[in-house]
Amino acid sequence: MRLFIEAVKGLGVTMKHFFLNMFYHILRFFHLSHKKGETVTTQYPEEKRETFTRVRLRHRLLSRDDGRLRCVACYMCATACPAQCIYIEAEEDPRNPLEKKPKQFIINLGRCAYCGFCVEACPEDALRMDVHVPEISEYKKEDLLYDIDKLTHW
Amino acid sequence: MSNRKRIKITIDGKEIETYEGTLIIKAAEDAGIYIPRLCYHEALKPDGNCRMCFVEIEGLRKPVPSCLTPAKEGMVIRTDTDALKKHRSSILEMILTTHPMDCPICDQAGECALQDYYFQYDLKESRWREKKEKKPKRVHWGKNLIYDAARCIICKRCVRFLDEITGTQELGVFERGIHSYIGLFDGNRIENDYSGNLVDICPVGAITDLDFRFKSRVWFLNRTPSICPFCARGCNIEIHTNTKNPFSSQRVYRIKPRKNLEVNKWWICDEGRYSYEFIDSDRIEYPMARGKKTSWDSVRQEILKIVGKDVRLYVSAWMSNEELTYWMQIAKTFDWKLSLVGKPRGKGDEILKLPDKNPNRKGAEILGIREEIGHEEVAVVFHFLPVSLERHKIKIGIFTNKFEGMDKFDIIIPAAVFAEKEGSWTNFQGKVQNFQKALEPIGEAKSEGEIGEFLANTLGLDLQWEIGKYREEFEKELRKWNG
Ligand code: SF4
Ligand code: SF4
Ligand code: SF4
Ligand code: SF4
Ligand code: FES
Repeated sequence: MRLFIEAVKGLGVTMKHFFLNMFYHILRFFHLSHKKGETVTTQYPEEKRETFTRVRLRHRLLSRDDGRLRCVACYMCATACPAQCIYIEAEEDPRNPLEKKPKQFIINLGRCAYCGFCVEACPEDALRMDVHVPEISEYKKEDLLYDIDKLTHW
Repeated sequence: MSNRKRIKITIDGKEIETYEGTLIIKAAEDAGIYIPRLCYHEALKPDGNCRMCFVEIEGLRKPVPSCLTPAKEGMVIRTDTDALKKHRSSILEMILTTHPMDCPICDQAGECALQDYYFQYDLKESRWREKKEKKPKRVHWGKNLIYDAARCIICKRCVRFLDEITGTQELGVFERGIHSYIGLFDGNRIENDYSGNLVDICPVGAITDLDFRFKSRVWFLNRTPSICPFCARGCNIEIHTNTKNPFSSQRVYRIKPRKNLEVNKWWICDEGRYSYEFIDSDRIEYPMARGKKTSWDSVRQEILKIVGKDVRLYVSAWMSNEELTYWMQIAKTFDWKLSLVGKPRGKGDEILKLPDKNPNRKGAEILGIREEIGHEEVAVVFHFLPVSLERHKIKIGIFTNKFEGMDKFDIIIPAAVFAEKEGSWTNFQGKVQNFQKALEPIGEAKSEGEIGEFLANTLGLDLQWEIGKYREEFEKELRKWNG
């Protein structure tokens, strides 16, 4: 008997939320309210939820004024990375005064933990992470290996 | 040495015994007390220009450089007082006023004396507000060296090395004070056979190695003690590897010497340092039949064809003591003939290089294996082609790297190179030296010991490859040979 009462109580909670959410959905549908805080499905991709500013997302490699990459291939990011997903191949930069530049710079975003350590570690401010663009999806696993080309174009 | 007087001195409260006249820095190091230094190197005559190694001696008013002061009976020395620490910090601060501090792109970072001492003794912000002196950062000194004048601290180790060790004297100090730099004397380039050692003895990143330049950061490298295979001296080396990068097929990044006063002291020659490429490139990764890839099953079939025939094993002077002993055992059981093959003699010199370009000819000699030509029906050849193979009808090869004429072999079994297995070689002095496994064998390659076991098992012989057992057997032979 007690079990039955508890089950009915539980059902009551479910029904409460169901009708409440349904009510807000309907309001929303007719553009009558955009109140936050209720469990309302965001209609992605037509509608996008705002991300918090502290969220770290897609990586970017920045360039200098003359178009060269800021990155000097120092491997500090690769050293700091807890997921060990940054692979760099360095080469000589014949133009003075920089001596070193990346020939290959790959971040495996499939392995990345989005911790932001790489950005913190970079002495050249060459690597940054996006804030409001959550779209990091690919159809193939290999496409999640972001190379210089992908990291500099966005 | 032995007729010098034994004396007692006290360093940091620890009483140590040493020979009279030993430099304090050396006596302390032998007793396990490390005194910081930049210009002093055990192998070179002391120069005393960096002032890092100062110590206090009771009874003397001022600190003295321990790399220039010989120990005397009863000296009481302190190496760690606050005044000395302050002194070191000031020395570092002075050096850093002209230093570019480009550690992020400096290959030395991680094994740089200046960096290490800075963390140990200085660790404060620079008070230097002037512009830093600009100096050339990319001077090519020779086939493999790049000099960065901005990073150079003018410790003159490089100059002294070329004076005292190679005697070639290509370098000197030019200009004075803040403008001084190390330069080549007119018309010189550093092309001597020991130039790579300059990179090792330079305490900072002023001399970098073109071969290693920008290839990796040093803290990514695994270090495995090994022995250099390129001549009979058997210099003690370290193999630095990194197999973690899925986008690079390079596994070995550099070879560094290991100190062994009886064999190679602190050095290795450039041939030994830069010839590691064969470990990663042009390897035979699969069994081959007449130049084409084949399976281990057909290798087995081919081996079965030699049953009951006359066989000659051409074992090589690159095989380890244990492998040679093991293969001798196999040969004895089947009553096969044995001969030795190896690399032809080359040039030697007075420093390290020997004309015998094989690491283990001595080991083969101890086991009584000689170079001879045979005319048996079957030849099993290891690593090197004997003078003539024509008289043998069936040819089985056990090779590490691809070579001209591979298609003449009925079967080639892929073998592991020295860095991919453990074992020992006997150098020209009769010293048995161990090398350790730094890498997994490439592709389907196996060590010569495992190949021996494979062959023995195929032929129905139950003789297991146990490295420890054959090491013992080799040592028995060695004792007999030594008398
Ligand atoms: S965000 Fe973290 S896990 Fe991702 S690449 Fe940077 S350091 Fe590595
Ligand atoms: S830390 Fe910055 S400069 Fe260094 S390799 Fe990474 S992105 Fe390039
Ligand atoms: S020499 Fe040492 S201190 Fe100077 S840049 Fe290189 S690692 Fe840094
Ligand atoms: S190049 Fe290196 S070894 Fe030579 S003086 Fe400069 S710091 Fe010393
Ligand atoms: S190590 Fe003694 S002065 Fe340089």
